[in-house]
Amino acid sequence: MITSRPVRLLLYAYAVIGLGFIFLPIFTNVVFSFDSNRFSSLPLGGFTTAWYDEMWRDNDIHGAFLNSLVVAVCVGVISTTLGSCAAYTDYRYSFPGKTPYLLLALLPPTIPVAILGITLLIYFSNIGMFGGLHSIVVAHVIYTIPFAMGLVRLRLSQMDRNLESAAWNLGARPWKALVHIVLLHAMPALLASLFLTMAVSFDEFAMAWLVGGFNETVPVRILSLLQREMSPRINAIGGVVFTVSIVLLLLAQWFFARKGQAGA
Amino acid sequence: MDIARPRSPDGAGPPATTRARAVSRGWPFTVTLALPMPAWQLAFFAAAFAFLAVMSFWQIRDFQLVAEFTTRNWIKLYQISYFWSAFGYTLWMAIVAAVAASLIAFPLAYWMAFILTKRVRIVAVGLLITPFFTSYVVKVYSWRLLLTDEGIVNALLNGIGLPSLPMLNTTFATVVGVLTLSFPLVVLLQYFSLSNVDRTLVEAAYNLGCRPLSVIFRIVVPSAKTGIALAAVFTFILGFGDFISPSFLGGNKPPTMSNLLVDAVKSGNNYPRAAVIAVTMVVTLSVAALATLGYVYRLGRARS
Repeated sequence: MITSRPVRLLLYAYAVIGLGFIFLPIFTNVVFSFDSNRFSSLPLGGFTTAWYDEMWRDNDIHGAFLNSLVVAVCVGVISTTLGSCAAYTDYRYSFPGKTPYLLLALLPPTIPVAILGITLLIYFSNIGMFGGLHSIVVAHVIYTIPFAMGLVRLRLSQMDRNLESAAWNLGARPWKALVHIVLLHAMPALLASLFLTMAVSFDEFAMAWLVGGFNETVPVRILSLLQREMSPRINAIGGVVFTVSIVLLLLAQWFFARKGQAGA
Repeated sequence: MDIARPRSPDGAGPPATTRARAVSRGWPFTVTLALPMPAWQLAFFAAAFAFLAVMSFWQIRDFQLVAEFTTRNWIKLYQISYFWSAFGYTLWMAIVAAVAASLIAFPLAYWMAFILTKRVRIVAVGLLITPFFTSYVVKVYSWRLLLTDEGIVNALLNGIGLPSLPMLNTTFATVVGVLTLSFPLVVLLQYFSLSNVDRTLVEAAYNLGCRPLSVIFRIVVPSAKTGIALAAVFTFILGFGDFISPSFLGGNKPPTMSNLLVDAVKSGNNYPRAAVIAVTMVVTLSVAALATLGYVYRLGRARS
């Protein structure tokens, strides 16, 4: 593409500002989590880890992290399982009603989490499922299935369609072929999906707040702190939250990028 | 539903195909893999929305929800003027966010699609995906620190001799919050559609003496319009349904639809009213999304 040099430089400068806008809140949070000022503003007060110490001593935060961890692991496993099965079905079969089948999987993230959360709150209250960690898990699985399904489906489309039937010809039963051929081929995507859905669950606040009752996950805890105060402790919690989700996302991207290498 | 018929393997030799049919996976195999996802989504997602729609016609009597048909919830809410002002404000704010995000994102997406080398492009995609999936609540808290009256941005402004700007509790702050959520995604969607633009078409336009800006507006944007529209619709949906930014950055002044929705349940304990608001929001979003995408699609057909 023909673009003149000044325009290119201008676009690079613009890109730096654009990416700067995206990373500004994350950067701000991390910087002020180590700043000794009680009110986070400029000029900086000096380096401290006091807010992290304060956070570690807070039992509510411990509980919230534990809740988030339990929910995220359950969501990751269930979502990846359901999403992979659906991705395989989409990959292998064509059947009448496939469009509604796919819509059922893909629709939830297009609905704002506040609406989804309120709808599930009302429904769960009515069927006696409101107010537990299981309520949050169910809500997050609904929301994250398409992420899992999309990653696995992309990976499957890179697989030779005949590998599976070749395995049958060599005497493998369908389940065995599925495990040894399809599952093995899709493994990087399954791991990527596991980490991505865990990251989404770990950061989701609206549904967790609305359906979880007294069970607070980390973002819900932050939300209730936010309603009361502006404390640098929130920055420290945020620092940990960003670290956890960025690690999960890097793992997801690393596994997903391994596609070209292993096997067929 | 004839779910068990395998799709004919593309390009398979005849023997493999015949043999494959002979070994057929069998229905337990197919059903075990095909059913868990729809079972989950029907039981929890579809059923919840069906229940919501039905319950918007139920009554509350003596603080108890009673399954008796009434249209009162709908009529009562639609007669309240602040409901319509909230609706109008939310619609306006979401449109502003969608237009702003699309305009601001375009040069970035263009830079990724047309200027970057492949290696750097992969890094840029990673730099956009990662923040999209990191905690929205914490980022909104950071924006509060940045935008508040004695906050970081104003400290910087004062530092270079400019007066402070009141930014927190304004629509500007709300839109900034919504962009925090949607901007990386908008850049990515625009970038994907720009990278599908036919390069020969672009080069042909240049060779025929077309000016760069004119190439962008007459070749690049029309070719990528579906992705651009999709990105705008996504921001609109996120803005229309968000309650974190309007509450913590916009200061609930004026309230948005999501504020009313959450209040109806959390403060009012009025489930039928919440159901009416939620159904109204879902219908509005569906109509807006389908109308926009349909319009863009028809534009494409009219041109070709």
